[in-house]
Amino acid sequence: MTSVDVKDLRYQYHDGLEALRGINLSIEKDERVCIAGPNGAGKSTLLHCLAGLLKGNGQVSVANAELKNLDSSIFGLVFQNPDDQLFCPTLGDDIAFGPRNQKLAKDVVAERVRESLALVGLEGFEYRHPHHLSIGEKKRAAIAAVMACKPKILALDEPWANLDARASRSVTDILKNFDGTVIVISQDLYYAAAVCKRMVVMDGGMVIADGDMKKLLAQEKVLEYFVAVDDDGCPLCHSRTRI
Amino acid sequence: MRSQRKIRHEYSVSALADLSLDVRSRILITLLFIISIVTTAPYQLLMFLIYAGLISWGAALARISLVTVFGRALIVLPFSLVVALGVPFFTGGETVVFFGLELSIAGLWTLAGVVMKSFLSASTLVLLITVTPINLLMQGLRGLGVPVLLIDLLNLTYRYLFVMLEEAMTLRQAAIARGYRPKWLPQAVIVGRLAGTLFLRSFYRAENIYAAMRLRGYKQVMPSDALPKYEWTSIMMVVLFVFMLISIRLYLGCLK
Amino acid sequence: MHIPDGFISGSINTASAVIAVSAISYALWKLKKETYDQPHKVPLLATTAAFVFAAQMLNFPIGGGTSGHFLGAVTAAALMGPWAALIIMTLVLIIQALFFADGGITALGTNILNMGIVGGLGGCMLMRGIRAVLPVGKLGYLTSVALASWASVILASALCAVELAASQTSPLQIALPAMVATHAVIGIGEALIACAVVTAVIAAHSVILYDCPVTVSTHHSHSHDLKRTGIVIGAGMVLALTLAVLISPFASSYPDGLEKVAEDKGFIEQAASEEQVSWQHSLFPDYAVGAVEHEGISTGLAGFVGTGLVFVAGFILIKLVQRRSSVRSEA
Ligand SMILES: Nc1ncnc2c1ncn2[C@@H]1O[C@H](COP(=O)(O)OP(=O)(O)O)[C@@H](O)[C@H]1O
Ligand SMILES: [Mg+2]
Repeated sequence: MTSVDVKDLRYQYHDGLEALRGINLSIEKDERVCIAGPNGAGKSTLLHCLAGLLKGNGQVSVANAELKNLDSSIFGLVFQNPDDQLFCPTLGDDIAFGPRNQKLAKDVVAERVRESLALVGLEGFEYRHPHHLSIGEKKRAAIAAVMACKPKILALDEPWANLDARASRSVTDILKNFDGTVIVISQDLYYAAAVCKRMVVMDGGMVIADGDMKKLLAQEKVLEYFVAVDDDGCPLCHSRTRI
Repeated sequence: MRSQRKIRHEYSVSALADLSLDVRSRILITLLFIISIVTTAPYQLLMFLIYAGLISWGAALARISLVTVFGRALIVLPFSLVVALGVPFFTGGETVVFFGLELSIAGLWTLAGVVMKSFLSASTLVLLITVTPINLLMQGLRGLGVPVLLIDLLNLTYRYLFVMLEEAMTLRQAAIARGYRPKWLPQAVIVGRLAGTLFLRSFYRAENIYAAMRLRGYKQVMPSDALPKYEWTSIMMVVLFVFMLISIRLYLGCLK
Repeated sequence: MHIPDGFISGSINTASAVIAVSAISYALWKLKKETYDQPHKVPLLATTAAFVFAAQMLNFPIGGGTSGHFLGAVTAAALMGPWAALIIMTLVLIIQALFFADGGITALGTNILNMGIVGGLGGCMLMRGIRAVLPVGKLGYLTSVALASWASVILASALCAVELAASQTSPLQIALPAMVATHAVIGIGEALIACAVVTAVIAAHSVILYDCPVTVSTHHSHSHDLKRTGIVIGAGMVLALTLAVLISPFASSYPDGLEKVAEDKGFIEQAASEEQVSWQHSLFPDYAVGAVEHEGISTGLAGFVGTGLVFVAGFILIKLVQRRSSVRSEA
């Protein structure tokens, strides 16, 4: 069963920049996919199109349905900047935001809040002000806020950026244990490899490689995206690319 | 260390919030108390002492140090001094000579009045906001009939206040690091440039926030739980408090 | 300019609270209608309010080792429109009063009246009035923003002084010149900041600006525009300084005023015992306790300000009527 199906998707920003230039992508249910590629490749734009925030030209079907309205119980997107995602005065309110919008009963909402906070290891943080959290806690809280809506597909934009090793590991664990499809954008192939088997490499608004992560990285044309080369042409490992 | 103290403080506040008076009553009592303060004539010094005593009592009940309450209220003094310090010099009526200065007695009373009233009112407010977490306060305001849209806006503003403040301070630091030493007025343009950057960031941030809200099902209003019922015992507390204030003022002849 | 509790009389606070509540209710009603097709406005207004709050923390020097700070009412109006500006200023003022004890709770209505309604709505009307007489284009737009920002700060502070005087807290003869003179200078900083913000926004993304009159081309003659804007702002500053200079002898003549008052003390005591008013006289320069010279100056100033206000108000009215009728004739 396919979870995400994209056919010849194009997207152009107001200023005329064509950020997506014919994307074809199909993701199976419960698959874990890493989208990698240089900055400006169009990865975030693609995710926003999948979430339904942007409307491009082409076919996008999510969970076997043409995407019409946003539905938090189907597609959950975790932004790169958790400050944009945690917009309520307390963490409890923030996590309850999605479930309350799904018109769930009060006790169900409370249960969801407790459950999601426990899932990301933030028990008892209900009354904390988001501004008072560390960046690692914020990232986990943002994931909890999305998971509380119980989406079938969880997409994350650079979840490991700016995190220290411990926080990164806890994010990795959360993603590993998630029950559903996972799409992550990441340059941190070390962590991404722990979660995903499949990798999609994008550049210039197009998919340039798609397949098993380790096999792809054996190819020179893919590897050069992730490896720096010094003056003598000697490959230097990108510090975060060790697998 | 500092962050740990912050955490503990937050917890104690929320614990306290569970224990005591309905937040609507707290807001009403605070408001009525401040109205009582500002309607007291300046020369009724005993009444002002009683107000200070009541604030201290409240702080003791909430186990909050008086230094916090009165210290944070000091913020109002500069305005009082700038606006009212000149008043004793320019007011007519009987005068006293003080270090060779001729000061109007009525003017001195005015000065004393505004200083005491603004300071005590601010202390009362500080007490309220120290013992009441912001989300509870907003719930209370909603319960007292403040429009939901305004409450949503206040919540969002409060949330991004500190984020923006931090960004503003970082921007200023960056300017200072590159030799910005403001000395004369036209350099306000540089503040303006910082502010311009700040606004653009706030604009793009709003786009992201809105996207995040939409993805989690936002439809025009923030969802919130229904307020707990306003118990008549809580209402009685407000009535009792007003009754107490009025009787004290009647007894002392301080009710015009 | 954030008035704490205890400075303003109950009747003035009540009256301004009524005005403020009605204006805000209208603005919220308008916003609510708008959110049906522009729901993003809610987070946008909130982040803009947070921006205004943060920008108010950035001090700028006004000379003599003191500093002023940004108010932001006209800037908000230029960015988002008048009613949104009122909501933004209201949010800022409520949060400052509630969480930072900056500005009183009972004086909240008065503060909203001064800074939100007069500063924001009034400033926006001024901006449109000024823009109507200026040539269309970036220069005219920036000039209108600058002048309206400057005037909005002065108007708000003058109103604040009048309220203090009417509450018998601070005599009008002291409060008005002191407030207006200081804010004539602070207003220059306000104008500079407002222009810088608007310029930054035009350069980045002019679609953001509320009713931006210009399809501003951001690339061509950018430096030229900036230079001309500089000249206009310079001229505005000269005007402002001239005004400040005009006002300052008036303000600094107060020590003499004190002597004069002392001389005429007998008269004051008599007046005070006859009626229960002491400072209400100061509301009306004619009663100004025999201080003839000051009467002359203050009357002159009042006349000047009054004429200016009437002129501007009349002008805006005419322009509004004209615009209406032209729209109608086009339709
Ligand atoms: N809001 C926007 N308006 C215009 N161009 C944009 C916008 N967001 C992104 N872009 C452009 O689209 C391209 C792809 O951006 P993005 O999807 O964010 O890349 P990635 O996430 O892969 O780094 C970039 O060239 C970027 O500059
Ligand atoms: Mg990106």
